[in-house]
Amino acid sequence: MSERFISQEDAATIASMMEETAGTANVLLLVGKNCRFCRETRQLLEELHEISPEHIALRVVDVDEDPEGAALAERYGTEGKTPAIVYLDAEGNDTGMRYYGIPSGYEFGAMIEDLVDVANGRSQLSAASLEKVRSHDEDLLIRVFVTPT
Amino acid sequence: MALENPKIRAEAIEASEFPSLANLYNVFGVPKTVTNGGVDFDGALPEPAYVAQVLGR
Repeated sequence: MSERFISQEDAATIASMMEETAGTANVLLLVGKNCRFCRETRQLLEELHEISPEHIALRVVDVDEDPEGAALAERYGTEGKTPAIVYLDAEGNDTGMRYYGIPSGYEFGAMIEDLVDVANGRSQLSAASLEKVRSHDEDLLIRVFVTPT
Repeated sequence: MALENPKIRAEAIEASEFPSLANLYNVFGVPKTVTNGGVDFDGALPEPAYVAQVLGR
């Protein structure tokens, strides 16, 4: 059995953060054949699901092997990128949030915050930012490039 | 932002795993933010400034 990525201490912190959320973050992980970190990303997300099974649901689909894979990649617009983490809300609706690659290092913390927000069904934006964001009426695609440092 | 507005989609991309996409957007440092509205900037900003910058106003 491979070693766990998440320490017991971090697992306890994550469990209590997720325990305070109102609902469930539904995580869809798309994996594929020619993928550098799919195996590790899958293990990481499986550990998160084990830490908080009530608040973090996980479905893993192989876009190359699973008959549903290609349709899901198309539906969620992942354009062949794997690993692709697709965040769905408690009802399974698309939140519009994606993470491409393995969320390690600093990005792991950011992912936990994303899971908390998705499970709660709301962001932690200030009231002033919320007003601006909610009144935006054009389609907007925001891409943020990160590295695992 | 995506969570609060269905018209907004937000993607985080690990630059070293997707070099062709990183090259396409001239990513030389992180974090780097680009949008389909032509916004393109390096670095982190406090929330109010980030929201204003990304929304282009």
